Amino acid sequence: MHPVDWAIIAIYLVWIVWDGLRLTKRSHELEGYFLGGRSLPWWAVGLSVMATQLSAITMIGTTGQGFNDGMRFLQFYYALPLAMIALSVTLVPFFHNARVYTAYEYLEKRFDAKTRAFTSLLFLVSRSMSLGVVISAPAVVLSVVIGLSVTQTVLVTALPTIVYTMFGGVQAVAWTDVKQMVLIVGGLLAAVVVLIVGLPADVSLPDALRIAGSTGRLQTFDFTFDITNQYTFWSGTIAAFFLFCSYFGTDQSQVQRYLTTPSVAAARESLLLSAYWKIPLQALVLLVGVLMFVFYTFTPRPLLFDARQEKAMREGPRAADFAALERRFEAATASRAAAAAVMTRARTTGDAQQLATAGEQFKATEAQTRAIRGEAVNLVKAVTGDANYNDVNYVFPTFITTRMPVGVVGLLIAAIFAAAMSTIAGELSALSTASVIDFYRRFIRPDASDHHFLMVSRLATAFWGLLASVVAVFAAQLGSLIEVVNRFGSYFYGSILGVFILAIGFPRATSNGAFVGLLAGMSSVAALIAFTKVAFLWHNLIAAVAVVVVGMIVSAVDPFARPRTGAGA
Amino acid sequence: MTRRATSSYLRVFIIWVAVLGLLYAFQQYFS
Repeated sequence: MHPVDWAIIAIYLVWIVWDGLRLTKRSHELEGYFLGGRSLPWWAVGLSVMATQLSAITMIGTTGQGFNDGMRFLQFYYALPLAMIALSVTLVPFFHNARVYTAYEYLEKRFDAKTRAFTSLLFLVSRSMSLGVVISAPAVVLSVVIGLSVTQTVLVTALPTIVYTMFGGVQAVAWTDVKQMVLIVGGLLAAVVVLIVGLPADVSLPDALRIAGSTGRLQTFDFTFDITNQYTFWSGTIAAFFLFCSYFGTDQSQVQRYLTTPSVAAARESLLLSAYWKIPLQALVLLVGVLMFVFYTFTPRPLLFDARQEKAMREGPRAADFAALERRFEAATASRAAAAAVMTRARTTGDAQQLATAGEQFKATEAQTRAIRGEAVNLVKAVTGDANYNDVNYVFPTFITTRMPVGVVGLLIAAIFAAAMSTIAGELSALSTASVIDFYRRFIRPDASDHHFLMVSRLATAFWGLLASVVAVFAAQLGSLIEVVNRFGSYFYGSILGVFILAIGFPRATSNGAFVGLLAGMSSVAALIAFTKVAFLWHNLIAAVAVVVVGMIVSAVDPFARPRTGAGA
Repeated sequence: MTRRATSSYLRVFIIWVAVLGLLYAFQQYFS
């Protein structure tokens, strides 16, 4: 990388830490540290929520998915606006009016301490593990593209984030998120511009989109009903609705953010910002991947985007086999480029016959290219013994470092850092809040001073950050990161949502009913994973229903049931 | 629910339908 790009990254890292630390003076008591004194503006909170979700995995994994599979992943987000409306009507007013620090604190007010402690523990375990994966994503990128080790990259990403989150609290998290979000969106738009400018002179943007469309990469609606497939319209609108209700409504990293707003109306507006912008933003990320596919249709590309692995294969025991694959790949991509050029010319001249013939040839050579890439990946798997190997996460980083102009490379690598750091900061703050409020203050030192809790909270932030960094070093060995992160949460998300549905929607639900229901929901997910091929998105719906049904049955026969007058809050 | 909140939800719903419609048109036009 050019020294200018290194300088941009260094300036970004120093500036973001300084910017976060500036807010330390506003975090001298617990409510300021964890909830920003409940005074943050809705738009900053809304952007912060979006920045937390847009991780480095989105920048790397989702662009790779766009390159490989196209835009069908977008269907995953279709239910999000509807979930935001449902939450604005139901959970948001309950949490805000209950004046709680954590979502799980509300469960003790409604049920009992064990339900609160158990749900909070599930959050702490699953989130600290998935945070490790979130940190490892840029480590995987940068260790390959700029030559740092995975461990060094983990430290460069995590340590500055730990520092500003530890001292600045949720205010530092929210305000740095706002700036990081601007950098991320600016970086993505810069990538789109570079990709369009990089197309051959006679290939316009509509031509490029038609080339991508002919391979099915612009398919954003799949109406087949198949519960073993995540990416269909029905999975994205029905099953994902429950995932988003659970994530935005019961996950501390999200709930904490809208508790920092001064009113229910402001909290609602902050959530609705995601309702408006999440689908277009994901479409932009996927479009970068799709445009990279078109760009590499006309530009020579490596057989593997993972340069380190490609070098190892060329020098390894199966070098001859790999070289043969590379020769076949070069010939296939050349034929594909020729067919794409004929398609574009035929469209310009209006020659329908030639367009149809070239279109068929393009599809055939594209299938051939995919097959050879598949063979290369299988060869890597055979040589390394890594059954999960995939180079899809390397496509965007490789494009950035090999095809982007000086300066823009630094900007985009900084944007990947920003995506990682904004997510890490939000999660660290939530982990610290849940561990201090739901465990330390509840069970260990209920009567300590605010000053004491503030000190413990800062230590907790550092602890979770360092633990996640250790997990990150090991998580870097995993394959497709995006699926892994989503799976971690899916073991618990639906069940926790079920408990909140019981808490708010069923006044007759008892604490024992909620607790047994929660166990039943988690067991149902374990059974689904062990015995079926049902896609993980549907686990959320099935688990939530299991919790409510079992919870109500147990509540009906609960000998320790206490009469309740209302839904709590 | 206040009238202001209801109109916010209605606006989100209308824009959601419009965005999905645009995406469907985009898919059909370029495929």
